[in-house]
Amino acid sequence: MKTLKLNTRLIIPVLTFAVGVLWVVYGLKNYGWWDQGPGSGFFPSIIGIILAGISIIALLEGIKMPAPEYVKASWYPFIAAFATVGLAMIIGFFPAMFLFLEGWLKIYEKYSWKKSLPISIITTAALYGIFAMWLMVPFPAGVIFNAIRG
Amino acid sequence: METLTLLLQGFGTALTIQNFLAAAAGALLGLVVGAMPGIGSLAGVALLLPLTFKFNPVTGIIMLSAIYYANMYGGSYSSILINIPGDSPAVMTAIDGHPMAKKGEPGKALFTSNLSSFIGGTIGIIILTITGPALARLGLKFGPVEMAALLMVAMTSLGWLLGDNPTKGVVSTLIGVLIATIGFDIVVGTPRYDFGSLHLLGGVSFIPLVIGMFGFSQVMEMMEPAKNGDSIDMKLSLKDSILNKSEMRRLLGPSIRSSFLGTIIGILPGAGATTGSFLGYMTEKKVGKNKDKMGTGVLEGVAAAEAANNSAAAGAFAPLLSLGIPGSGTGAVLLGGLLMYGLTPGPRLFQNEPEFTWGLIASLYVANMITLFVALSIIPFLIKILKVPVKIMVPIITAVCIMGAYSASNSLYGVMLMLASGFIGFHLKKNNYPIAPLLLAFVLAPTLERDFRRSFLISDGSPWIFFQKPIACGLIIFLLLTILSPLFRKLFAMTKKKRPPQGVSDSTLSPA
Repeated sequence: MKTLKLNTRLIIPVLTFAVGVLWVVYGLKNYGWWDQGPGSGFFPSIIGIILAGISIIALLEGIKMPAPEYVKASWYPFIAAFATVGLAMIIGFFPAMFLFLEGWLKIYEKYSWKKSLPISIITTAALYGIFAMWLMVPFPAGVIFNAIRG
Repeated sequence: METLTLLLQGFGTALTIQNFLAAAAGALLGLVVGAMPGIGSLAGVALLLPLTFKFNPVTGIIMLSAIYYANMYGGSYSSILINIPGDSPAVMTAIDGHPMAKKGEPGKALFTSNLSSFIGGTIGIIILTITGPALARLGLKFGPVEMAALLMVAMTSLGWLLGDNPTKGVVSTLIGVLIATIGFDIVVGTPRYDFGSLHLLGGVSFIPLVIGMFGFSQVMEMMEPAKNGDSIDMKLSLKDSILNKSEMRRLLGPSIRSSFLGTIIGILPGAGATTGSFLGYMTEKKVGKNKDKMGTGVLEGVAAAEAANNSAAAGAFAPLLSLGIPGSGTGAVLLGGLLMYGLTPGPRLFQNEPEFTWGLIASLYVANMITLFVALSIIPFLIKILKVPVKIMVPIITAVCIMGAYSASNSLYGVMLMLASGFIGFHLKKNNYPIAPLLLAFVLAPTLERDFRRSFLISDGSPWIFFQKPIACGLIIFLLLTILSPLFRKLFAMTKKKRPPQGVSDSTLSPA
């Protein structure tokens, strides 16, 4: 199992500190603190100040802690989902879903065709039945289908 | 009497064919998803949320509530059979449930779990029926100052209770509040924090956020080496699961005790089923007839934990409906669902939407009955459900997350938001930041901001207004005590360390 050490114990508080400061600066500059009453930036700025302060405490606590170990494989669904969405824009949502399911089971999990195909077909059909037929969600058909249709 | 009449009218709504079927479908789906190890009730409700789009608000919420409710039943199955709790409230169930299964009584453990869940649920719903309207009447007396104070208490106490580190709970809560400020300012209607993006102008959509934070982040977590649960090489049959008379008698006491305790915990804003099951179990360990055997695989342990967590889940509907305050992350999803359907939970819900409110409460009675029936019927098939390999669940759940997020927004923005929040949620969880407070804060933040700003408008900018009103003052003192409690704990631990151990001082003082 390939692992990766990433010191997110420190990265996260640094990011939350930055977000807190951004909210305060942006809020005070653009939306205002008080104008005959609390302005649009009043509440977010207060929360931003508290977040920045708490983030410093979280950072100090994080320094003492070991960095968590990441399994590289946990990012695979994220990457695969991105690729599937890109593919969906070209060949349509349901063919892309089928290819994702089949590809995952076949390539990553090393399932046989006999085992993977029924799972991919049944899942895609169930998703089509629920989302396209029952909930009537208009999924994009993809550029290829649109080009053929004119 | 008036409550009873309204409840009977509610049954009229709950027992229409459509609503009854929605509750039954919700119960079945909730049980199956809840039983699958590694998904949990929060992810389960989040993943199944898009299925309710098809219905009108009343039916949609009835189905969602049944899913939530049945998830509480289902969470215990993997605890008992393979020692992996389906969700956090089921952690206490594993302590006695799994040893029971190992002793050759898996069916009896499951039967106990189902029956005590039913007892807990029933008592919880009865108390909800009584306290819900009373809480709503109390809520009507709350002005913006009291409401802002109550919302702050609800947000922080949940942040404090979850996770190993209160600081991280607060960070999570505050991030949730900041995300909620993106989009239109709810008080004056002007855009803010959209950073020039048209998508952000409309605010961060609730459903893709929930699916990502709880569903997709769970998928990423599933890719890590699994906690080694025990293998399931047992057979289950309904016949072997049925409890005899003496076992039924042993089950009743702990179930009833825990049900009352669990409901009270559930009603408290910010406390949920996890706290309920913990306290229910610990109380049984202190006062129960079989207290010495607790932890070795006795049905009292399963009954206490399960009755408490289900009654807390039912009790949590009281502050949710009457004050608009959810007791847990799953409650926050339900609140988001209510808001999505245009229903605003709060003191006026009982007055303005009696058909919906009482229909929902009545549907909980119905869902509880249906869930018990379905739960007992699926006992023989549970092994098959639990044996669904993670290898298959990962791509299927990923596909459901993508489709669900798209269907909620009809745009790729929803999918991108889901993926981004899943990625963030995974890294937060990996670093022990609890994500339920983030969701709770996201849902509650608009109301908090509105009341917070109104309070400051009334006081002309003075924060002392929170100390001038008795209820608000009491709540703020409670809030301060909660915030300072980690400091008190540290001080207490330091003084305890400094003091020599009792045994040593006794022996030193006693004559040789």
